[in-house]
Amino acid sequence: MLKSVRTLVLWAFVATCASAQSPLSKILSSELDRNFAVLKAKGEPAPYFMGYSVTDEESNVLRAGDGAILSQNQSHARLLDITVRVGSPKFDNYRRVNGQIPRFTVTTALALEDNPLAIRQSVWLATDQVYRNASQRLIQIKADEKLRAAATDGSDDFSEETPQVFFQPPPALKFNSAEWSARLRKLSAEFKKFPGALNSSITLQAERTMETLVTTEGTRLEHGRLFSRIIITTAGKAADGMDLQTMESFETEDPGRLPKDPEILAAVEKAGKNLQDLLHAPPSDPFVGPAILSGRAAGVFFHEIFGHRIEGHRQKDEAEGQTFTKSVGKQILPPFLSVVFDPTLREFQGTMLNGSYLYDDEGVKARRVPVVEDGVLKTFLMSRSPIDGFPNSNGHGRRQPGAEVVSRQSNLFVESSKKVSDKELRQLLIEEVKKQGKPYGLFFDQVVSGYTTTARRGLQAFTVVPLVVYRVYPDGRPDELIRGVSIVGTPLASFGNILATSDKSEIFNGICGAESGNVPVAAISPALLVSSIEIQRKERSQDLPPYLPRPEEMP
Amino acid sequence: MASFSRRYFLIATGLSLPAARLLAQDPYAQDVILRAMRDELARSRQLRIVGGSSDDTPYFISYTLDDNDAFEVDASFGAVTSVSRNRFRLPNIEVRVGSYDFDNTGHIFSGLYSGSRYDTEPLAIDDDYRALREGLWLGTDHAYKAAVESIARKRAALTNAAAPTDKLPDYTRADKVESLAKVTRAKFDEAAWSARIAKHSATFSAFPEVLASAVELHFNQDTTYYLDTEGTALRYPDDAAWISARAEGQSPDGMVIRDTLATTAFTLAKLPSDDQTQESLTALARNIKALVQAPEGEAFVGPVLFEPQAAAQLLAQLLGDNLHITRKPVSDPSRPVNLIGSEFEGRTGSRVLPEWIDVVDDPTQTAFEGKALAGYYPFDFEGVKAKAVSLIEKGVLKTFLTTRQPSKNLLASNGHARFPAGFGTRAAAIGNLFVRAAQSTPLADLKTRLIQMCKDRDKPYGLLIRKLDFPFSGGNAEIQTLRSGSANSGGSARPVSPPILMYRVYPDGREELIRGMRFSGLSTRSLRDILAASAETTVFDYINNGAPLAHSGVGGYIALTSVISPGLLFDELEVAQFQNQLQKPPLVPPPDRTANR
Repeated sequence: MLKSVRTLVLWAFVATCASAQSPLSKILSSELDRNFAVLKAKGEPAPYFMGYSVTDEESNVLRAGDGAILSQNQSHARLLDITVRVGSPKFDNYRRVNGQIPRFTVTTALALEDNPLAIRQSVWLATDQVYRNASQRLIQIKADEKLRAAATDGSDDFSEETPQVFFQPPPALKFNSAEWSARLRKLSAEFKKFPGALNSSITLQAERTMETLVTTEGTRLEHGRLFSRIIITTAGKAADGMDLQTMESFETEDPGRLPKDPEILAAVEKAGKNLQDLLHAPPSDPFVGPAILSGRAAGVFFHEIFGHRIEGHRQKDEAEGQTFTKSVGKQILPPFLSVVFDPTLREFQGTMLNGSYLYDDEGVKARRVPVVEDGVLKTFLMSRSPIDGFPNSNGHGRRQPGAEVVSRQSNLFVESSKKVSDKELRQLLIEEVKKQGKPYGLFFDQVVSGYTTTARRGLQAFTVVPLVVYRVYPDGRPDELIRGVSIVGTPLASFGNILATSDKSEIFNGICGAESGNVPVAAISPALLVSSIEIQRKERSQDLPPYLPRPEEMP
Repeated sequence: MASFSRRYFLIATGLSLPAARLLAQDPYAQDVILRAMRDELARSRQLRIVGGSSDDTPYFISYTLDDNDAFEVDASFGAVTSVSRNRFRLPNIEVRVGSYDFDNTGHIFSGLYSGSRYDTEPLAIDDDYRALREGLWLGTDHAYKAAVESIARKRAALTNAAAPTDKLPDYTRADKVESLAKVTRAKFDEAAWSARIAKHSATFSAFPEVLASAVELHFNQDTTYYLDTEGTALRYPDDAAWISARAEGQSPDGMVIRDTLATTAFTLAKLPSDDQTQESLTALARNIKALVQAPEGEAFVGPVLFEPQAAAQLLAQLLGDNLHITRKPVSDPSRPVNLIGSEFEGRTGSRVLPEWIDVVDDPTQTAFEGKALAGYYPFDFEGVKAKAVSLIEKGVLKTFLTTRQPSKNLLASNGHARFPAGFGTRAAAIGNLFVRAAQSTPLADLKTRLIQMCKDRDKPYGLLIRKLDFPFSGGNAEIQTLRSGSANSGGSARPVSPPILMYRVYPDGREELIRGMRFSGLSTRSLRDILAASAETTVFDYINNGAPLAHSGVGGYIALTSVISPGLLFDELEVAQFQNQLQKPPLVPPPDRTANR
């Protein structure tokens, strides 16, 4: 597993064609120098660090359902976010107090063309606003600091990192809207085969994002990426009112590399058939027992219950659960499992990985970070906000435009040294069912993630929403699809329960939402056999399917 | 073949349509949206709950659909910051269960549905009959379920509440109208318009006092469809184009200065010429420049002269917001409903203006003295033909603008439902509001009279107002300040926009611009203190969105509106300092606007 990973295409290979600094970067640099010089001389308190980040986003979204285009949107925006740090790296305006996440940036739409006058004017006014927000908070928290007991974590507020200079020309986005409209009409017409699908759609997203970052430390970065995806969703209502949905998706960079129609059609049929089967499946019963999580389901499981808990800033925040804060060097997973975050990998087994990038949103170079080796916790995901024992970033400071950076996940790899074939894994499940004296085990084929509560006050439960789950009987009966499965349990308990993994990894590409907004991520994992998982029946809606039948086919 | 199966379908669902529709020139045959709406509307009459009571069957269903193609360009200091073009078809499906006398609307939770919904708004943008019907089917199902839930809640609430004093029906019948206008869409050059707007936005680059600014062009090509189970069937264009601009500066003491403008038309071609736009933008920039240097005003009580535009902006609020009645919804006894009612409620037959002023709202007029009127519309939001309404005659309030929701003594609609409103109802609003003075004097004479009044009363100066900040361009926090300022000073619960261009007029006739003022204690009662009107009148067009102060930036439905008014001289009004939170000017000097051009 590890070896195959290393032979994959690296970002760095693509990025060899470095170009010269763009006009936008030059305008931003000169305005940064001008504002920083004056604020440093006259500001009370004075800034010690400033950064301008511009996200240039071009996006096309097409949505079709039942053979017709439902919506079509095109947008292009350049959004400026400003970082101003006042005080010193030891204590600055970004210090988190009582779990409060300060936000200073005022997202500003910049001119779409490199018009110096228009851009300078916007940047100047926004800088003033952000500087005011920053200085006001520093003065306030410094005063409050005197009234409070010292925090357990006495680390600095901002780490020192090597400035980076790298210019990559913007990638070209080729998107033929008319052609895709015709394809999506044809593909979405397939939903007509599934009368139980009340609401079905195929959404196509094709985006180009270009990031420009200039900082007073000398970082000058320009790098971009394409992102394309097809999301197929279909939803319906069982006769007892339970809402059900299924989904399929494809992700790649260039929209031209998305699958051909037959492959998309197969996914539409799969989503439709899964829904149709679910609508007629028996509802799940409360159950505790062994289960297999498919590779994709396991990826989501790891992302939610593990990944979020090793994000560095949570270890510093007194309001957080801090599940692993004191666990570095300790066994937290079975010894045959390792977990690596690697944003430098663009692809895995020919599929684009959504959590890839060259530099994070603080301009720190992306790198491979093994967080768990042979079950032992080694480190956390770090932004430039240090924590005790981890004074530096490891390139995981991320955000959506408009939000402030915190440490976030990238591409999560679950690696295993206790691998068996899928067939053997299933056999192990059946043995475990028999051993525990259970009537059946479970197979989680498809899940989507909900949210993770990591705050100390909340229940420490992960939320993964299972879509397609089967009962696996020990007596050779065929697997039985069940609907309305909802997982309960605590994350710590779930980790100790992993018995073995399959020898094939699957990819879940997704968008992760947290404090710093939505960021693209991926989770790659083999299927997992767990000795115990607890499920309950999800709350169902009381209302009935539509009163009138679907309108007839009319001329 | 096609017509056979359509007939078959119609017979099968028990709906008889006028024979004219089945002729060869059938607009339904040519318009798939119309056909899908008609067919699904007809089928939806069958909706009922198995085992439910007859009270739970729909007695009225209406489908409204806006087929919209919206283009927008935003630019600042010579460069485009955003361009978008969106096509969408937005349905508004109304299902009423019960009867005209008692239905699901008018309860505090009317329209809310506790179940899951499967209808996707907006509808398909392809002319695909099946997809459109699917959308309407699911939308109707959702609206029906919400209606059944609402009427049950309403009945439950009324079992515990004392019976309402006046038993009003919940809905009235309206005359059946059929009007299916042919609608054409204009082709226009997006790139050329983007370049024009970018160029206009560069006007402000020459004014260092303008710190932030934006110019926007909007062009909505909208076709409105309306069909209901009473047989009304409408299709008409509802296009709107507007250029709006906003400029901000900061006075030396830190006060943020703002001014805005908007010019509206029904088509791009009817927007002002480039030269005219340039001229009004330059005037806007000059206003900022002048306001930045102007002194802050002081509290004042005395005579105030509103020039025609400011008078129209004032009356758009004081009359516009009070010439319709909002019926209080049924609620639980423990849950009070806070609604700001009309200040004119219960004052029909009383004098609300000087006896030489008449007020008529006439949305059927397309022009006034050669100038197009923005407030023209053929049909309202409930499919009722727009009608002229004489609201105030010789200063006496005669009636109100109405929708199909009856209120006391106002049982029929006069075609003024212009917005979807809360509790399953629609809100009435003005279209073209004509304020006519039977006696008038030239504006110049009114200024002389203002000066004379100040002399007679030993006032150092009187006030002249040329422009209000209406539609209001400030933030929500400022609206709160205005609201509490108005309520605490005995004024209207709905605050009135503050002045932007306000001048002290000294005895020698000199005018001095002042800034930072708002009205105090102003309400409809103040209108009785109008002394005189000017011979000059103006047409003030604006984009109403139903929000307080028509606050710009609030999304949703819009209604173009015109107020035609003379200038007005008030015997006595009160103004106070706005008391903005002041902010220090930026530490860093502005970037050099001449470099790198």
